[in-house]
Amino acid sequence: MLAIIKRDFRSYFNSPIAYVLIGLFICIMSLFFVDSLNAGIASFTTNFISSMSYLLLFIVPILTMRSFAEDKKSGTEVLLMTSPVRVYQVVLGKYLAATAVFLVMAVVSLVFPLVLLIYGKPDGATLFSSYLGFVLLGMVFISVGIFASSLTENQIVAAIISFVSLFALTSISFIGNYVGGFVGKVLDQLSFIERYYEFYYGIIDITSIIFMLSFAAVFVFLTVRILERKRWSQG
Amino acid sequence: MKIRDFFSKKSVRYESYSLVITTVVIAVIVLVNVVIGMSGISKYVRFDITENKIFSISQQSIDLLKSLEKDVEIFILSPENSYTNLTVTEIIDQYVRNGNGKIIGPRYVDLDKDPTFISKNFDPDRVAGINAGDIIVRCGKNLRVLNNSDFMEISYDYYGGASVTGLKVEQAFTSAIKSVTAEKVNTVYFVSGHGEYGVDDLSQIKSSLSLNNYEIKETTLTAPVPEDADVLFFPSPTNDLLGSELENLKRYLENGGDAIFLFDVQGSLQDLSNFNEVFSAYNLQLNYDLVNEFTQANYLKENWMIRPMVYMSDVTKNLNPDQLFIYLPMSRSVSVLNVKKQNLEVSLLFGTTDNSTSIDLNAGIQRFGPFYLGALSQLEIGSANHSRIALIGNCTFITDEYTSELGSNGSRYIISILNWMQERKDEVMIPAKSIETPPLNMTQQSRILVFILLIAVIPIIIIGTGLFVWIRRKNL
Repeated sequence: MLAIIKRDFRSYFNSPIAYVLIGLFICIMSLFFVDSLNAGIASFTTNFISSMSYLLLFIVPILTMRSFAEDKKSGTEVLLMTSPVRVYQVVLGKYLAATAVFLVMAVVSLVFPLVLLIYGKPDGATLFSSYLGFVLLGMVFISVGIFASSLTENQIVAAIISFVSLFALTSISFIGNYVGGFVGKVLDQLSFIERYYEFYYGIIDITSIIFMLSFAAVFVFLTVRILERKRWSQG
Repeated sequence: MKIRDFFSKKSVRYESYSLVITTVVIAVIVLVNVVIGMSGISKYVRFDITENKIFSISQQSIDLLKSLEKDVEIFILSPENSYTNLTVTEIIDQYVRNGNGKIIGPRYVDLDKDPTFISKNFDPDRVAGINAGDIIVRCGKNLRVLNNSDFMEISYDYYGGASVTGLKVEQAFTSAIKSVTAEKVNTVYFVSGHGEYGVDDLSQIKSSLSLNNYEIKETTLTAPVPEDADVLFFPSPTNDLLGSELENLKRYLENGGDAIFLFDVQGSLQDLSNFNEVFSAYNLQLNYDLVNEFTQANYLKENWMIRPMVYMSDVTKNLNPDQLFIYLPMSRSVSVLNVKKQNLEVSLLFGTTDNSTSIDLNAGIQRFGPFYLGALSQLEIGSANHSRIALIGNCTFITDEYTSELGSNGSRYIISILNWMQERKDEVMIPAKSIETPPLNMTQQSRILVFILLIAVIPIIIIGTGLFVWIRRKNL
């Protein structure tokens, strides 16, 4: 599995895709970081935090769309599927590789809190929890992206499925508020965006961490099932 | 036979197996999350890591909750999904968690769906003017209504712009719980009829008193002081008491009543001899002057904006030492009379340094300090009763305008004086939690440089590196 992680991680950085995504992420987030600079406050604004999550809606589908489609295109899919490694190891390897690229992006984006630390005395604990929420959200998004990538051979279609799914998932709380009642309550419980904001406000809830990790686990598991099925049907 | 053939097919068996496995795994994961969500475990594994512990309650509140003997209900007049004040809901959760089952709720009430809820469940007179989004804390027949303004500490800049600088959510709930569970709530009567400050000028001090479990009412002294009055509050009278008013006041004080007198410097000379007659019984005297302070550490910009020396007393010993400083704008002095009385105890509150002067507004004579700007006096009445008064040569410091500009320490003193008068020895004031964000110390130039670095330099370096790697690999 380690070999798959290494191979996929390298392939991201051997093409311009990871660099372009990270560069664009920093560039766009800088536009929202201006709010803090202009207001002269050593903390992230709500606008900045929400933009971070919404930007992931676009970045993650592009990051993950090639996970399985690329192997189909280059012909390495057959090698992977017929190799002694098990399907869950393949999926987990690809998931962790994409997560590693995302973590590199998160580390580079630490330049924003660094500016706050140099020029002010921000609440370090709240910055930490904001980032913890961001990383967990990224892990959830990537699991959905990987799952979408396993559904189709076309990278663009995979990206669109991924984007639409993520958009629907992030809108759950809005739908919940609109529907109300028991269904609304259930939808509210399923909303990871609400939980993400709690991290930003400085609340670390272990159940939220479990929820987000299990959400990611469900989609990784579904991806394994999809590939198992393909492997079986191809004999 | 056909059905058996169908299910004996390898593909169907695999698909069924796959479906079962998938369903079971997802069901287990969902179940684990539902159980965790429903079990209330979440309340015990949530950590407030904010610097000022905005979402946590203090030990004082926890101690109060432990001592609760009656059930307290909390109603939020809003649909649950629409109520988005995270701080309030988190704090209520903490009260419920620490309340040993005595804090019930919160119960969300959608007034659009249940418009008669209030009239059916509460005394309409006590919830007059209630709005959607307000919160009701109830214990038996006692109730307290809280709204957003009770949860916020608001400051105003010199141009009148308001900003929220602190949160008083815990203060509001602890006070409300104390209030609704108390056998008796102390009543403070604001006296009017002598040119005192109006309600509009004193809304913040009134809010602070309410939050600290004092009921506020208004009265004139034309009739005897109401029997439920625990303290009379005089917010800077400018005219003297009439003869009948003096008698009513004296009778009240002789029966063990307490009073707080705050007097600003008078614009025009008015005889306040009836007031001084009351004060003289307590060995105190109000002077007709304006005090100026010349020791640099004891004034702010102007000599009349005095930061007084604070004397240790029963009032100040309960205050947080970090919050003792106070500014008194344009003050008059208070004298302690040198008349020996065995049943009287005077203690000082505020004073100026040696390097201060006062101008007598009657005679125009300048006197030299130090001066007293506030004092407390206790007169024993019989063996078991006493009357306490506080006399301060300033009232501006508790008006909304000055509280907003110069901080709320003034109201802390007033509450501490009231607590001393009512002998609330266990009273601990819960300070507002600051939500002011730390500033960025950046020049305009460094701001522009940082912005360029972030929006252009770093992204270009990253993307450039990517292109370099890609082109190099392409040409290998």
